[in-house]
Amino acid sequence: MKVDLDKVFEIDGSEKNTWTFLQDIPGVASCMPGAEITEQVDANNYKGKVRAKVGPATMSFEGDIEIQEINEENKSLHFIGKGQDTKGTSAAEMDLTASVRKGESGATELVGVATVTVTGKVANFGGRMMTQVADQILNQFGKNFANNVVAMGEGESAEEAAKVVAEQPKELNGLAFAWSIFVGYLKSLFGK
Amino acid sequence: MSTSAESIEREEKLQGVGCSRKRKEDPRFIQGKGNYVDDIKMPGMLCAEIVRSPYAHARIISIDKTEALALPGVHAVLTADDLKPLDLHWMPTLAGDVQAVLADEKVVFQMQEVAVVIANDRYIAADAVQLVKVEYEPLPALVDPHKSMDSDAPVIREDLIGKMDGAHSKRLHDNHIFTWDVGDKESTDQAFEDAEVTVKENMFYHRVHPCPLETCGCLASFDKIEGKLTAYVTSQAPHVVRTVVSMLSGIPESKVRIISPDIGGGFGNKVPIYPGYVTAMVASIVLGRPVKWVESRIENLTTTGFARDWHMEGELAADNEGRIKALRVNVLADHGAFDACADPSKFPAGMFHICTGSYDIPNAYARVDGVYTNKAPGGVAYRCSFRVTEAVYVVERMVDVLAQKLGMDKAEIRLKNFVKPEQFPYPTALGANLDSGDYHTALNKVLDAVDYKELRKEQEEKRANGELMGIGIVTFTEIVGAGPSKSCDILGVGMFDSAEIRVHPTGSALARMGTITQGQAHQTTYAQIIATELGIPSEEIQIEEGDTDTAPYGLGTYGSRTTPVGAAATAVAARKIKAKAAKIAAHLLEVSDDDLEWDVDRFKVKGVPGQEKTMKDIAWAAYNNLPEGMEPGLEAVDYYDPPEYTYPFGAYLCVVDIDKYTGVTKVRRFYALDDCGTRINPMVIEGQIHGGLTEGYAVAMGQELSFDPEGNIEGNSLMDYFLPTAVETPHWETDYTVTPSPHHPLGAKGVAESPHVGSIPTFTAAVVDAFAHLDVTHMNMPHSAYRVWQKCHELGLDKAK
Amino acid sequence: MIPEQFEYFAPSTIDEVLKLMVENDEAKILAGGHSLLPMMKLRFAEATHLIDINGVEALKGISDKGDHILIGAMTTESELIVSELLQQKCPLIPEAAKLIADPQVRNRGTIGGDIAHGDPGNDHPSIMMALDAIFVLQSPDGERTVPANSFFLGTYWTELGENEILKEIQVPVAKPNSGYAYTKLKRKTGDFATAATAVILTLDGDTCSSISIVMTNVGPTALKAEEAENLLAGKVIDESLIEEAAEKAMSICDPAEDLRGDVEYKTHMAGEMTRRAIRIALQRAKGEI
Repeated sequence: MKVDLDKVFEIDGSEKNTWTFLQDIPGVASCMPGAEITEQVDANNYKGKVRAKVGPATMSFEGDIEIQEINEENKSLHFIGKGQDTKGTSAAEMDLTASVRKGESGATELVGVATVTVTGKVANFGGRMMTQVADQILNQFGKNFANNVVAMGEGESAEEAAKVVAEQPKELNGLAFAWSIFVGYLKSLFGK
Repeated sequence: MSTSAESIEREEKLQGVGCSRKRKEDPRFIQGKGNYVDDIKMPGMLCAEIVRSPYAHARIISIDKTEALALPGVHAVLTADDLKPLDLHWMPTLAGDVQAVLADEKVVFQMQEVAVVIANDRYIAADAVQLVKVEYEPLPALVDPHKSMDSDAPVIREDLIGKMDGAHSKRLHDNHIFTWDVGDKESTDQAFEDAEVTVKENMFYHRVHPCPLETCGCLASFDKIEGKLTAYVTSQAPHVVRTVVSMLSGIPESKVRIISPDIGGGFGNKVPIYPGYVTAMVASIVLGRPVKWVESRIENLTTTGFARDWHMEGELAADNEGRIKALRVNVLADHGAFDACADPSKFPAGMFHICTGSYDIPNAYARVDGVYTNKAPGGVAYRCSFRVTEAVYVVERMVDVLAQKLGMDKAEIRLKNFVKPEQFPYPTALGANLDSGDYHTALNKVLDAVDYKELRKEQEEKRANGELMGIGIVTFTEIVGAGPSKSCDILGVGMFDSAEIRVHPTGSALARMGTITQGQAHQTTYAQIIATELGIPSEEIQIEEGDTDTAPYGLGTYGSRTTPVGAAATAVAARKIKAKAAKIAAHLLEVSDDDLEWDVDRFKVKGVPGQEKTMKDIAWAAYNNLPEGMEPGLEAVDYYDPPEYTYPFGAYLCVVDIDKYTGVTKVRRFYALDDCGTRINPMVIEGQIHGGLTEGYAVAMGQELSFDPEGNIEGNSLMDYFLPTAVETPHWETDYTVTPSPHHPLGAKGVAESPHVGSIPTFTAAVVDAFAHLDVTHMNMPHSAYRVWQKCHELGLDKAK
Repeated sequence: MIPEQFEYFAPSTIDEVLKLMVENDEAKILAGGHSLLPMMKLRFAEATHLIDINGVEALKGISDKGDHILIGAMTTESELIVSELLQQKCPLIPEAAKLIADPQVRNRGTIGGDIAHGDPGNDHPSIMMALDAIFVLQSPDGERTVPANSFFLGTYWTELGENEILKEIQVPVAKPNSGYAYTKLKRKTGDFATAATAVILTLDGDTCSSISIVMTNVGPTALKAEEAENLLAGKVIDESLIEEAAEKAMSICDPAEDLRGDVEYKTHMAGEMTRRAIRIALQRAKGEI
């Protein structure tokens, strides 16, 4: 099954810092709940893993990330990640283009357009939850990403953000943050 | 007959043909004493679990067994490379294709078998499965059969590239399997050109699965000292399995013993030979220990034996009075990644040529093209006789479509086009030879029973009120009893069947058959046939099936062939015994056999009261007092090669009420009249009909295995897959007429599939009929609330009051 | 369909349960098991430690506390159905419980498990929210209460903290002149709802003085249709108002497409279940049925 995800995250930081952080692949990966880069193979290829925990379910994927394009002009990054779960029963591929822009309100925005394709058991039996869960994972990603960028700045808020970054949960866990607040924030963002 | 009351009493005691004898199988099943493959345990037994592909289409880059083999309790991990030296990595299918036992370089459907782990128990095996590391390179999945023959379609079967001489015809594309056609195309096309009215409809008979309560499994045990392979297999055709195993393994057939123990439902799912069986057998041969493989429910629904998946285009030509002039059908058949259809070998489209139905149609032509897709193989006869469900569906739907176009009543158009009683035996335009029938009587009986005119009146009133009520009528003709060996074989073995009966000295009997019961009550009904033929009480007749070391060779039980073929063999074998018994009786009574007459359970000397010998007396004499030169014993074997198929038929009527706001369809009434010729056990028939109707309801209203564009299978667990419970199952009203088959020794025709074959189009007909006044001519199954609501919504019927 | 190895505990007191939870990080609580066990068998859930709380008597039972009824989290669906106390004082719960799964599941499945799992397909979340129930949670740090209406945060996400269990549920007794309904559309026995709606309303004469409307399985959690409630409260409910309320309820639906149907179908079914639930609740409040 394929899930198309379109996300816009407002970042409380400069476009420049946001773009700089976006090119830090291990840094960006660490914003994904439960994800980490385990090896940089060459300039454009990385190996990584992600462990997602949703309620009682846990899924661990291992795979490769290939940078397709880094476009300085558009401040956009295009990569494809492919992985298989460690039990050999599911596979996932994510084709993601992330870019930095100035939003209508003047604030910096991180725009993500992704297609996630899953095959195997996750698609067969987890399909009912796919979209909602992917949404939840990405929202946490956006929050972590924003914090990282803020931490690159200066002042009290940067220090605060750096502290949050240090405590960033190592895996997606609903208990780790106040979801309801975040939902409200997103709804205001998308007018949903 | 001397004292008729006395002889009737004796006859009743026999519990023979026509008696609703209680099922002999039930006491053990009800008490949990059944003995299924998974109940059987052997000393030193190991368990097999299969590593399966998450992809529908991918190249296998590497398989790393190291971690799995390192797990304590794991004995072996087998892959295609391990089977290659034995030439067992591929196996023949029943349809003339080959199928990978374990994926060879490529996987071509989701959850395909990639490797098999053998371990001390199934817990360790399940842990080891996820330690087998398989690296894949994903390939584009081909899911839509309409795109199979596109020039840029991915080639699924690289092993067949360049091999354009298919098993059944030339192949037109690398993803094409066969073209099969029947009938006179030219005269049919002409009839369409000349016709006053023509109708055409596309319909999709979706992919479903028989979903028997017991999944498939095999316990294989190879005795290295004797060189003998014994395997307990969930098989509807154990002898065929034995022959195939011998051919594949090179073990002499005499040293292969296949046992089908109790089977928890087959419905066609247990006809083919599956990679799981083969790997269990190979593992046992390699390891010298018994190996058991039993699939899970998800594996069963996903990988073994699906049914249907035909895209059909039906056309009828008729005159303005509704007399049908021609039928034309084109089918695109989605066979998945291997052609493993369970059909007689020369019939790639099964018995689809029965698609002219119960009607006198002068011209007909049907063409079926089979194609490969990235889906599991199968195409089994799910409670049907090889594509008969599809055939009945297309013709019954088209007759309705024609009636709607002409504004004719759907019962009237059928009565107008039926083959008439005096036309039997009736050769159809597509080569079937209908043995007997009385279609008018059957339909009229149903119409009277439900007060059809009143129902139509009610429907008119409901429609005026904006309510949706539908009446579906189907008058089907089946073709069962494959089959005459002049045309029917499986891998070259003719489709006869067999019975061996031994009458013991004290007058009880043992009979063994080449068929195998999976719930059809063979132990009950075979005994009734022998009871009537030989005058031995049913209770004293032991029926055995399923052990190839003891049972005579038979082609098994599916396609409603047990009664048309196996029961015929039983009757003929019994008659051979009776003929010998007559000679012994004549000898004992010191008369000529011409002077004898049979009376229920004994021979009597005509006109001499008291001069008689019971079958019991005769049995005793068969072992000690025989006519000069006669060999001792009282037994016979018969291998019955049917001269023709039998053609059961029926008339079904269904009334539905549809909730236009939710799409929920309620079956208010279902009236099923079946004619299966002579009725051996009315209670068992009733049970078969209830079961078949319920499965038909499931297929029409909810069962479906669908796929997403990436080739992920959807609905492959009982969370989604619809097995009706008592809550959902409608109330069934059953009825019957009896039109015996003229060529069957008992006049019987077979019944198990009729209710399935007949009911499915009835449900569709009823649902569509509810919308017929809105110019709806067809709706695809399953008629789930979701689907039906979509139609309501499209027509704007669901607007709030 | 065999789960990975796990250690199994069967404590008999709440204290033991909490102690085991603290000691075992990855422990999972086993209540009725009808969600957890299939997930373990599919190897989606890795429960290295399974704490079976079926033997904890303190978590069971239904008792009358005057203005409210106290239901132990481990009370089974079957027990809810046969409870005369609930039938008389909070009939919405037995009515809804009857629509859950099948008898075998109802004999094992518990109200607490249904709630704590946080699955938007479960039925009790809507019922509890419609009833304004209060959940009593227990952790080693003590007891706290959380209203049902702020307990459910997302798919599988609830207010339940680490090392915290749902102990019991306080449900208010039905008010005089009130009516209730739970309408559920499902494909077959044992299925989750395609859509379902719980309604409780109270009449003051012909006027609806209060109403709660909560929908099942059409969003990441059960959804309270507040705008629809606000529309109807204080009014004499008629068909056109019901239609308007249903439209408002539909507008907040955000269901996931699956084999039960697409977003459009599920949204419409949520609307239809809402219409029907309001009608039935209204008729009951008026004593017409």
